[in-house]
Amino acid sequence: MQTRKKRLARALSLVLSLLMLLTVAAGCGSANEQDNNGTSTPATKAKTGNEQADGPVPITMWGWNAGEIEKIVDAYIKLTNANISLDYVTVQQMEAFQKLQTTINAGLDMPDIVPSEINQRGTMMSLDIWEDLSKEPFNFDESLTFDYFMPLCKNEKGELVCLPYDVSTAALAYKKEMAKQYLGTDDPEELQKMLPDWDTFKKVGLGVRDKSDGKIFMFASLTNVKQIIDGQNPAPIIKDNVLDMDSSVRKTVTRMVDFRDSGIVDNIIESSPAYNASYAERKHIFYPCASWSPNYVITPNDPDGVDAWGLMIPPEGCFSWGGSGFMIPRKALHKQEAFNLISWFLTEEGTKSQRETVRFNISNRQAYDDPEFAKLTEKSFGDQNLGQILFVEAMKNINVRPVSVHDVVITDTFNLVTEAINNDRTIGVDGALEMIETELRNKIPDLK
Amino acid sequence: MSGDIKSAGKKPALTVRMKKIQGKHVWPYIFVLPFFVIYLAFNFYPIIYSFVISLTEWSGFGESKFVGFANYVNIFTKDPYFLKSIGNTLIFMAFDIPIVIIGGILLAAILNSSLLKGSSFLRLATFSPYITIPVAIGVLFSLLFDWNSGMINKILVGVGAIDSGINFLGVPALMRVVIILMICWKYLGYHMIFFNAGILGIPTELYEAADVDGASGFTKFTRITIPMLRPIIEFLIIMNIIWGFQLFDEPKVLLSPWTSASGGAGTVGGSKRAALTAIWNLYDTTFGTQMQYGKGAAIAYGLFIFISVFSGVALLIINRNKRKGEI
Repeated sequence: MQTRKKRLARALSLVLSLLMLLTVAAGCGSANEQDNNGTSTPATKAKTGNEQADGPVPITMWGWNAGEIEKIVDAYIKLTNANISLDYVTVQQMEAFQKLQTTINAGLDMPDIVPSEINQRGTMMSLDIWEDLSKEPFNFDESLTFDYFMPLCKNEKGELVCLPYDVSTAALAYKKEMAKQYLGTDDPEELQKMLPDWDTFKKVGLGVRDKSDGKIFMFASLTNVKQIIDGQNPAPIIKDNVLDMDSSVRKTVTRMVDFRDSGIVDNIIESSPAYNASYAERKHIFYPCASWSPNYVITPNDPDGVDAWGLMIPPEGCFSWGGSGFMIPRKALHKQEAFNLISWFLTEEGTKSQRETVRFNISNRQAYDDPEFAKLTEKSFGDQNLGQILFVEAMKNINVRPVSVHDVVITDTFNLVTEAINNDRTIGVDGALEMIETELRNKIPDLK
Repeated sequence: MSGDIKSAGKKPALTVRMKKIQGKHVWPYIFVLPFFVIYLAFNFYPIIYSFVISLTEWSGFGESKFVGFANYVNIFTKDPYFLKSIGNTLIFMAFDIPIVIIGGILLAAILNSSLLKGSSFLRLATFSPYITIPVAIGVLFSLLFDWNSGMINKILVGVGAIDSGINFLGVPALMRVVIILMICWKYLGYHMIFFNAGILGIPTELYEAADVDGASGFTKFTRITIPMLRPIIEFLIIMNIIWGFQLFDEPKVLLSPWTSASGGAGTVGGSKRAALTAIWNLYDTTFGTQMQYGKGAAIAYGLFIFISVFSGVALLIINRNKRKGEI
């Protein structure tokens, strides 16, 4: 009896130990059920078949604005009767690339839709893991959207691997009261005539500085100067692995150093609390303003500023700032359904629906042919039609720098140099350019 | 023939050993097996695999290319950030380790003084920064030391000490001071708790005997308290060297654009990379702007060498002093 009990206890212990081991081993199993070409295995196909038979197809989408995307997908389902459900995974803007990297390396299922911000897009697009959405079976019609997006959405092989999302054209916002006081007018057209180029802008800025005893600035941050002037320059910084600073960054850096030394730009760091607070203060006149800025940046930071702001075309023209796009990995499980969704965003129906649902300005070109739809107003800007500049005037001559595989490194380098110019007044144009070159060559060793 | 004798002599011993293992001795092995399986799967295997990766050029996507020790040659001879990040980390450690060790001992001694009222509350108050998450600490210090709107600058301007704000987080030397301050503020209470436990463990007879001999408070502190706390001091010095090389969260959050309207990434390592710590460099190389798994793994191993050397040297010095003390 004693022996039997002992044996039973031993057997039980063995079973428990094995169970513990199995639990551990289960975590090591690969979730990747696809072959290297991204085609589904029978197991995956069966799963998809069951999902379609049993209910809606779950679309896995990464992103950082769950609330809005959920509303948009609801509208999509309602308007198109699409048989999908959304499985939204919140991923911070700057972490999308890392998450993609770890997902691939861990052999996990790829999402169906991956968002891409402009600063990372070139590097992300250079990975050979995306569907070419201009080819079969997708055949995306490029004429649906604005031409300026194409250099931002095609990889180095010319494949359309990203569909643009929101309009990213940007102009110059100004505080009306300050413009009237220091520049003599708050009318956008008069201001555009007064400030046709950056040399004139500097001269006017010097006048403002003298008039205010150096207390009023044209911009709050040197990052603003970088954003606009670099945004106006389509020349690639690195092309075919050759660094070309003279036609690309030199102009931007020269202006940044010049404006800093002239005392027409304040020293606030763009990402600091002080910068956000500056929107409501009466110390800085101009701010870069993309189509998403009035609603998401200016009004929230200056909630009492009703009809306090104006929008004008910046000296030397409009530029592109930010903007999202969506990509579909070759190994995604529900590629067609994912494409149907992100291409619907860019239809006239989708674009109009999203304006109505979440006030986004999506990039279907035809939608903006309707003057009523192209009208954009915001309480901070009174009754000024912001759309006339952002959706009509800007589109006439906007010219963007094509995205590059080195964009992540370039962005970090520019941040470092902007901060250095801002913090250290002894750094001149040559010093800043040398810093850019050294940084880029350190991080991209095969650069010519 | 001799072979036969050997095998004939060995076989019974082996059988006995096998029987022992198969018998009741097998259970301890089974029970410790899960730990070793987990260790092998999640510690040992990644360590070996990291070394393999360090011999390759790999972005984390696609095929890797074997490059031998090129990544090691690169980080020690070409890459300006590996040694710079180690240097930055050593600067932080050179200041914060003495401050938290000496400060912790003094604080523990003061809080154990019978003359002090409310020591329990003060002990809790001193310890509380340690349980604050690094993100909150980074945000708090960035709000305090902001160039334009920071509380410290506002106070200094308010009292007339300065005319305009100091760029605490933009000037490399000042940025390092803020980071050292932040680390000391967080870890001082933690060290105090260790020393407090040590002080409570010192036999009161030693102090009573010293009182009988007419020793002053200072003499008792230097001749009894400090020597009795020696094992804790040694432990904390070694651990601080290891923790020091792991510094990452606080400086990263302090210098990251957590309020950026445009989703800006900020500058890796702060102005002129003066706050680029060893782990921040490892993170940035592997997962950040460079995305070079091979080089990142080589940095991890390079860092391992530095930690081993510094910990080893510290142990040697401690042991040598111990031997001298025993003589």
